Amino acid sequence: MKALYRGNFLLMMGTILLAVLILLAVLVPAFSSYSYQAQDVNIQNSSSSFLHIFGTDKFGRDIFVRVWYGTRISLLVGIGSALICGALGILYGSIAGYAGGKADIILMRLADVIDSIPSLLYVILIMLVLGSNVGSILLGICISGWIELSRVVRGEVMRLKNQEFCIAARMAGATPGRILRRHLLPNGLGPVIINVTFLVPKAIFTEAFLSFVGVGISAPAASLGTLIQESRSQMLVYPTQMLYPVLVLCTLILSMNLIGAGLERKAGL
Amino acid sequence: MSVLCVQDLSVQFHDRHAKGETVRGVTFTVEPGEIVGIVGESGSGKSTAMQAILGLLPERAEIRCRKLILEQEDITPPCNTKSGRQEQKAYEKRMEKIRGKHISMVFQDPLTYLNPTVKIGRQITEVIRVHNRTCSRNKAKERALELLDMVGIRQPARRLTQYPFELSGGMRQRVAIAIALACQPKLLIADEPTTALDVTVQGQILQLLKRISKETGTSVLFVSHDLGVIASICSRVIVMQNGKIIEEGTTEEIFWEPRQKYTKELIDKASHLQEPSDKEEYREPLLSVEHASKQYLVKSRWNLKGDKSAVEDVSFHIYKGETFGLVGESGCGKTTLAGMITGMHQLTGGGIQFKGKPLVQMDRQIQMVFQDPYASLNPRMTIQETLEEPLLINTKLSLEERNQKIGELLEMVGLSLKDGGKYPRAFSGGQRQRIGIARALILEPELIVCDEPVSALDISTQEQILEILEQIQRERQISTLFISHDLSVVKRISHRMGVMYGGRMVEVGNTRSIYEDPWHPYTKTLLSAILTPDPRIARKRRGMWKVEELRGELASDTGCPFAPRCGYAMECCHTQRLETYSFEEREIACFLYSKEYTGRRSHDYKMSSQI
Amino acid sequence: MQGYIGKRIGMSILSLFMLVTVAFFLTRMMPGSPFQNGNVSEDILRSMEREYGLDKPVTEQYQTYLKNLLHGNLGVSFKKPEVTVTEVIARTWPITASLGGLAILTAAFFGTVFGIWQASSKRLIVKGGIFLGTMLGTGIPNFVVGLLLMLFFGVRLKLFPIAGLTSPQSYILPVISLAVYPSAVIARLVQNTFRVEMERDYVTMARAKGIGFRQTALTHILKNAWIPVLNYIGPAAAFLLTGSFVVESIFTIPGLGREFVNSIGNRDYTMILGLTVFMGITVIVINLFTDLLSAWLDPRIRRSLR
Repeated sequence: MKALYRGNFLLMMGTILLAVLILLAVLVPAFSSYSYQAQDVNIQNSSSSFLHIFGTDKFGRDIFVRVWYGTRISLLVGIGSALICGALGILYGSIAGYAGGKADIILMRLADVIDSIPSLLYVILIMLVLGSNVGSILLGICISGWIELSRVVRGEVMRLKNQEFCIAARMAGATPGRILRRHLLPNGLGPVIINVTFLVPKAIFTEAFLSFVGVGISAPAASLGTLIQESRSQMLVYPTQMLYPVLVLCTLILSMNLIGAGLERKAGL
Repeated sequence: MSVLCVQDLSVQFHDRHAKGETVRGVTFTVEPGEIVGIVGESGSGKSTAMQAILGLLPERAEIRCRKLILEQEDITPPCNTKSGRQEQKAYEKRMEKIRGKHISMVFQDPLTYLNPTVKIGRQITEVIRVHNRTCSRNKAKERALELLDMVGIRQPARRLTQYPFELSGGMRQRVAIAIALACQPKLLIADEPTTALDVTVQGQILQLLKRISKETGTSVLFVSHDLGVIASICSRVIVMQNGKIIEEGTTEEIFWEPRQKYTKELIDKASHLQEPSDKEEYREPLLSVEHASKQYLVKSRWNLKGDKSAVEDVSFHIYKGETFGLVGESGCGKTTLAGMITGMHQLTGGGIQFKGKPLVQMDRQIQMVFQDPYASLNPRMTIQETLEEPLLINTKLSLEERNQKIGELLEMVGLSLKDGGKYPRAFSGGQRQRIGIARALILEPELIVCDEPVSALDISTQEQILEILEQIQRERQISTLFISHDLSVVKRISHRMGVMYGGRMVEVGNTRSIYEDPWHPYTKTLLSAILTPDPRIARKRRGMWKVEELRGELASDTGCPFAPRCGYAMECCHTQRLETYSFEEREIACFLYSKEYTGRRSHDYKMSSQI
Repeated sequence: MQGYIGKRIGMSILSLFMLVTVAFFLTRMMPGSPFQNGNVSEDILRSMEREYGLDKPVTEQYQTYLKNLLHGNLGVSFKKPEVTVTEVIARTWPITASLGGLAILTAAFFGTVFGIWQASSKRLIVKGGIFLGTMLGTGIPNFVVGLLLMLFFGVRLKLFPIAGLTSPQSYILPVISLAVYPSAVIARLVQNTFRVEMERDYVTMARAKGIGFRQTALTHILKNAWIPVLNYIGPAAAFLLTGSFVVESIFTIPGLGREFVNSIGNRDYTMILGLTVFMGITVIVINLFTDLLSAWLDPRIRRSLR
C-alpha cells in the first residue's frame, strides 16, 4: 500500500480530497441540527454566517446541509454505478475474451450496437418512464456504462490468454475458471481498476447533468445538480448559492480524476 | 587519417531504467574503408556507445567524451551535466547535419525502425532532401530507385509506393541499408543488423554490406554478439565487456590468439556449439506424427480470406529417450507443429500417435518449455506457487511431498527451495528458463517440447541451459522435441533432426549424418549459411544470392515449396505433388530422390546425396 | 474494403433499428396520457387519442411509426399540433450543428496543440500547467462552465452577449462552454499517444537520419498519433449534442437542445421521441464515417482490405 503512494503526488492528492469529501458527506447531514428539507421563511436567502455556513436558499433551507446531502447522492450514484458496471464489464469482457471466436464476435458486436447510441438519450427516456429517483439513474447509467470496461477486460484477457504462462497452466490441466482467477485477472487488474475509477466521475457527471436538465432527483431531495439548477434562477442576485455546490461537484470529480490519473501513471500507461 | 576517432567515451544512466548498461572510457579509431567489428554480450555497452557517438541517447544519459573526431570535424558531445541548454541545442543542430549524411546507422529490427504508416519511397527521399535542400522531388526519387537497385531489391519502382509491412524481413533490412547509404556517408554504424533475420537472409545481408563497403569505400562499424558473423565480415575486432574495451586486434589475432581469458571463453563457447555430440540410438517410438496437416483460416481484421496451410503432410517419429531437433526459418510451421503435438492446435488432417494411442487433446505426459523466459512465468505467482499448481490439479500429494518434489526439481536445475518464495522478477532470464524447465518436469512427463528455449539468452547462458537439458535427458530418459532456428544449437543437442520448409518436413535423419552430408538442397543452403567463428572458414563462403530472396509467394499450391528458390528445380518440382522418400534412416521430400528421376534401382541400391 | 463498408453499414442499420424500437416503446410506457390536462373531458381525450392513432394496439402504432420514419415523417407535436417534428428539426438543427461544428474544430485545434506541447516540452511548468488544465477541463461539467462563463464574461464584464445567437460574438461563449471538455480529452489523447510514439524506434531512426524534431513530429509522429483522436470524434459528437441541451438553455439559443429540454418539461412525447431518434441517427452516422475514415487512414488496414 505504501509503495502505491510513494512519489505519487496525484494519487495522494486525489485520495485525500476524496476522503475529506466522503467524511463530510457522511457526517454533516447526520450531525447537523438542520434538515435538508426543512424550510424556514424567516431566513430566506441569508448569506454565510456562523449558523449557516453556506447561507440559506430561497426557501430558507440550510445550503451547507443540502450540499453535503447532495454529495451523498452523487457519491452513491458514482460508486454504485461503478460497482455494477465494473462487475458487468468484467464478467462480459472475460467471457468474450476467453471464449474467443464466434461467441466473441457476437458478444462484441452486440456491445457495439448498444454503445453506438448516445447513452444520455436512453437515460433521459428511462428517467421519464420510471420516475426521478436514484434507482432509475443507476439503471440508466448501467445500460451502457459497462461496455467500455468490458472492451478493456476483453483486450487484457485476449492478450494474456495466449501468454506462455497461461498455456503452461492449460497444459497442466487447469480449468478455464482457475486460469481466469489465478492467471488472467490478477495480471490484467491494473488497466481494469483504472477504468473502473474513471466510471465514477462519469456517473457523477451524468447525474448532475440530468438533474440540471430537470429529469434528475426530484424535490425536496437534492443532488448537487439539482442545487445548481435551483440556484440558477437567482444566479445574478445570489451567485454564492450556486458557487458552493459547483465547487463541491468539481472537487469531487477532480478527486476521482486525480486518483485515476495517479493509478494510470503508476501502471506506466 | 582516421574516419572516426573516439577518445575516452563514457556513458552513465541516471534513473531507474538504467540496466547497468554503461560505457566506461572507450577509445578506438576507424580507418577509411575498413569494417570494424564490436563484439560483446548483451549489457556490455556496445549499442550504447554507438548511439552516444551519434548523440541519439535520451537526456537521462550522461555522456562524457574527451574527443570525438569525424575526419577533421570535431563532434565531441558537450557534457550534459555541466553545459547549458544553449550548448546542447548547438550540438543537436550540428549533429543533425552529420547524422544520415556523414555517419548513418542501421538498426537491428527494421520492422520497428521503419515508420509503419509512411511509404518506403518517402522514407528514403526524406533523408536525401533533408541533407540537400536543393534536390528536387524527382531527383530524389531517381536517387532512391538507384539506391534500391544497389541494395539488390527487385522492382524498385513498385517498392517505393509500398509500406514496410508489405515487405519481407530481408527486404526491409535492405531498405534500411539503402536509407543509410542515401547520402554516401563516410561511416556506417550497423547495430546487430542481422540478428532479427533468418540465417539464409543473414548471409545475404552480410554479403551486401561487404560489397558496398568495398565499392563505395565506406567504413563500417559492425556491432554484433555473434562471433560467426564478426569473423565473416570484419577485418578488425574490438571486444567489449562491462562497458570497457578489453581487447582489440585484427580478426585473425582475436580468433586465433586471444590474449584475454574472456575473449577465449567466448570463442570457445561459440565453437563448442558447433560440434555435434555423439549419441546412442533409440529405437522404441514414443510419438508418431503421421501426415499431420493444419490449415488456418486466414483472417484479416474483418473478413475471411480463405485458408492457408501452416503445416502440410508432416510425418516423423520421436523415439523413447531421444532428443529430436527441428529446424527451419521463421514462419516455416515449426511452432504450429509444436502446438499440434502439445494439443493446443487441432489437426485438420492426418493424426498423431502417442504411446501407441491417438492423441486427441492435451496430454499431461507432454509438457512444454517456452521461448520467452519473461512471458512464461506468471508475474503474480511465486515460484513455489507456479511449480505447485500442476501438482495441486493432478495429484493428491500432501504438502510435504509437494515441497520435497519442488525442492528436488529446483536443485536439479541449479536453484534451491529457498528461491521458491520469490517472484519471477527476482530472477534473470537464464534462471527463469531453469524454472520453466522445472515446471515442465514436475508432472514427470515422457515428452517435453522445447520451443526455442535458448534463443532469447546470451551465449554463456545458452550453454548452461543446454547442459541442464542434456543432463535431464541422460538421467531421466525423457524424450525431447527441440525446436530452434539456430542450427548450431540443434547440432549440439539432438540425436536426430528434421528440417522444415514452407510447412513441409523436407528432410529427417541422424543429426550427424545430416550435417556431414545434407541431401536436400534446402538443408544444404541452411548448413552453408552457418557462420563458423573462424575467420578463415567464414570468409571463404561465397555469395549465394546477390539480390533479395524470392519468397514463397511465387510457389504454386502444388509442388515443392522450395522450388522457387532452388537451384536444382526441375519442371516437375513446380507442378507435381511432392512425396516423401525413405532410405534407411533418412527421409527426404525432394524430386531428386524420386524413382522417376534416379531411374529404376536394384534392391540393394544405396542412395547417396544427389547434389 | 467494400466488404468492410457493407458490414459496418449493416451494423449501423441494426443500431438505428434498435434505437428506434427502444425509444418508441419507452415513450409509449411513459406514465399518463399526453393530453391529460385536468379540465379536458373523457370524450375529448378519447377523440384526441383517436386522432393521433393512440387507440390502436401498440404494435400497429409501431409499424405506422416505422413506415412514417422511412418517409422522413417523425409525427406531429402533441403540444403544438400545428408543427411537425420534422419542421422543428429543420428549424433548429442548423443552429445546433453550427455550434457543435465550431466547438469540435476548436477542440481539435487546441487539443492537438496543447497535447503536442505537453508531450514534447521539457519544462516542468509547461507540462504541469497543461496537465492541470486538462484535469480541470475534464473535471468541470459543461453546464457549470457555461454558467460561470456567462456570469463572469457576460454579466460582470459585459464583454459578450449572454442570450440568443444574433451576432458572431454571441457564438463565443456557447462554443467555449461546449469545447472545453473535448479539448481536454483530445489534449490528453494526443499527449498520451505522442509520448508513446516518441519512444518508438522509428523516431530514433528519423533522428539518425538527421531529420529535425519539428519535421519528425509533423511527418512521422502526428500521422500515427491522430488516429485515436479521429476515433474520439464519434463520442465527441454525442457529447456535443447532449451538451447542447444545457448550453442552449443557459444561453437561450433556439436550437435542438433547448427544444429537447422544453419538450421534456412539457412531456411532449412525440417531440421527445422524434428528437431522440434524430440525434441517435446523427451520432450513428458520424460514428460510421469516422470509423471508415480511420480504417482508410491506416495503411495496414487499407491494404489488407483490398
